[in-house]
Amino acid sequence: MRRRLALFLAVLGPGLIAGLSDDDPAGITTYAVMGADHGYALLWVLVVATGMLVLYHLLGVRIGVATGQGMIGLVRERYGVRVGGLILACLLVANLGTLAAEYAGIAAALGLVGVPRELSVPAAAIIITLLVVRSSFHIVERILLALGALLASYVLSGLLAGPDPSATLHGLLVPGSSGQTGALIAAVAVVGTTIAPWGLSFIQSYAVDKRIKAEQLKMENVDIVTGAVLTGVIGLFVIIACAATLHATGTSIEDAADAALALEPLAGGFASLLFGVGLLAAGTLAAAVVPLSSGYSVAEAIGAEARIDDSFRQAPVFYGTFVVMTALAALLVALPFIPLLPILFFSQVLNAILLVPILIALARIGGDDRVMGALRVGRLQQGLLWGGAIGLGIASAVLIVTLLLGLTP
Amino acid sequence: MTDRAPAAVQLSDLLGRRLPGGERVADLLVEAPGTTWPVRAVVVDGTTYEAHWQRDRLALGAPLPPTGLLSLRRDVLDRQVVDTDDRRVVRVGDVALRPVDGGLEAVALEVGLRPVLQRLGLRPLARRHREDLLRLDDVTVMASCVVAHASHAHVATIETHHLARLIRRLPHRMKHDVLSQLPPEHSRAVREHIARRPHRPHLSRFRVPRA
Repeated sequence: MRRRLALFLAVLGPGLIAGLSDDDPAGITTYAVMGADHGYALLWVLVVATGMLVLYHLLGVRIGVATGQGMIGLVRERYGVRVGGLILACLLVANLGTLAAEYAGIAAALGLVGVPRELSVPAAAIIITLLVVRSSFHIVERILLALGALLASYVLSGLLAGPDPSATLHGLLVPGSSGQTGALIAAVAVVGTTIAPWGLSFIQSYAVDKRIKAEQLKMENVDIVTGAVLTGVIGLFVIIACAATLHATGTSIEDAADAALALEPLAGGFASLLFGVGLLAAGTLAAAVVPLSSGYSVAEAIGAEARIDDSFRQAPVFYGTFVVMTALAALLVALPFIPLLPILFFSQVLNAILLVPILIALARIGGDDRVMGALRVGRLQQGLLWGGAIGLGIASAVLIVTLLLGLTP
Repeated sequence: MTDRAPAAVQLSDLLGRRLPGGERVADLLVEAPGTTWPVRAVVVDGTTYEAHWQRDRLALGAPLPPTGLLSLRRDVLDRQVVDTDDRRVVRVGDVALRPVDGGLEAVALEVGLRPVLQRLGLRPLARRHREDLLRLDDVTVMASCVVAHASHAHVATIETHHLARLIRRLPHRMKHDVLSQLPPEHSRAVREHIARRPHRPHLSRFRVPRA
């Protein structure tokens, strides 16, 4: 038993970090808006999204273990440098927009206690960069896991809001609609925010970086399922916190910071504070993970594979990408004259467009004997992967049309 | 690495190119190993033909049965290279070829950013980067990767702990491929070094103390 625990702790990380970083400020906002507008009715969507997250994260790590390569490296090897370069370019632009959203989340969270964004954003960018660039793999991983643990504040916040247990259970188990306009768009947005291209790219590269072996896969799968389920649980508590308070009083919100403020008179100052702490942790975790994902991708694409344990001198491309992405995103958020909304909008569209070819490529690679060898995925899982890719393709198309028509979830 | 003069043709320039009959070049098959790899066949529309180089272009000869030749596109291009010389993992960006006696032969593997930029059509940017070539007699194409081992004599001069550090970073299949390419004594020394200090991520840090 002790040995099993030690083995589990040895592989712990990729699933938890990749999963929890999906609960970033954009995700928290989507959950909060869904709870405020649709109450408990669409909770089942979260169950579907969590199932898909488990499926694709299991696949990403499996491919990483079988090939020893990250997603973009493998795309280059399989489909050539032009396809790899195109996907990389789209991924970097989308990641930049996503990263700007993470820093906007940090600014909003610290804004709740009066810290101006001109101060909070550069400070956060410098601290995160120094931690990642100057620390070893173990330290970076522990910091990321600690930030993930802080997301538990959403669970407490949800409990303090006094949710309705029977409505929660009904919403989770019985697929239905709130009957309000925008329910379909909200459902698609929740799935879209849970499964992101940067997350898929990150978990595969990170599993390679952590040198997970085939014989460790069973234990690693526990880490992945745990991470994905916790991601869903946190989303659940954000939704029920807002459903129990904001939806019950007919209050509408625009973003997660609005939710934190609006919770105060309805669920108490402590619930509001916890919501704000969760937003800060979510933003910080994702602000470290998104540029790491970008660094891995660029290094793989140009054939200069790198690891978090490498120094800046050993891996200038990897860390250079991290620093440039972080600096650009921080600038976009900190400078008041740069319009942030169009950037976030464009990155969401790009993420949705990118998701489909990436899922198809992953499903094809996962089922390829020559690439996966003994780790090739079984027929049932392959069927689920293709079904998921088609479902997410439709969801992405709905999201793109919605965004282009100017509708909001 | 080698500073060999630039070759006349790059593999990426030939792949996808239309032949006089309108067919597209899908792959080139070479005879390896050796200091150069003569191009013996070209794959067009799923069929393998004898390859000739006439008036600066590829020409098809007689159809060939499936052979044991090495495929440059499938087995070499964009594959990971475990470079035991520089102790790093890179990728094959292109294959340098040169015309010889009515045929073509591969003379070096190009790695680094330069071939990537060239293939993306960013030649002015590519020219700013130095050419990084691996000699063909210094590499072995394996099932999972390409191993660049300079020469056995050179490998023997690389300190065991440096090699062990590189090899420890590799996934199992590649690790086996690289170790199998080392001289037996050196391979044994590297294996012993790895066994003495195995990579067990976090295990010792989270070990549960015995009651």
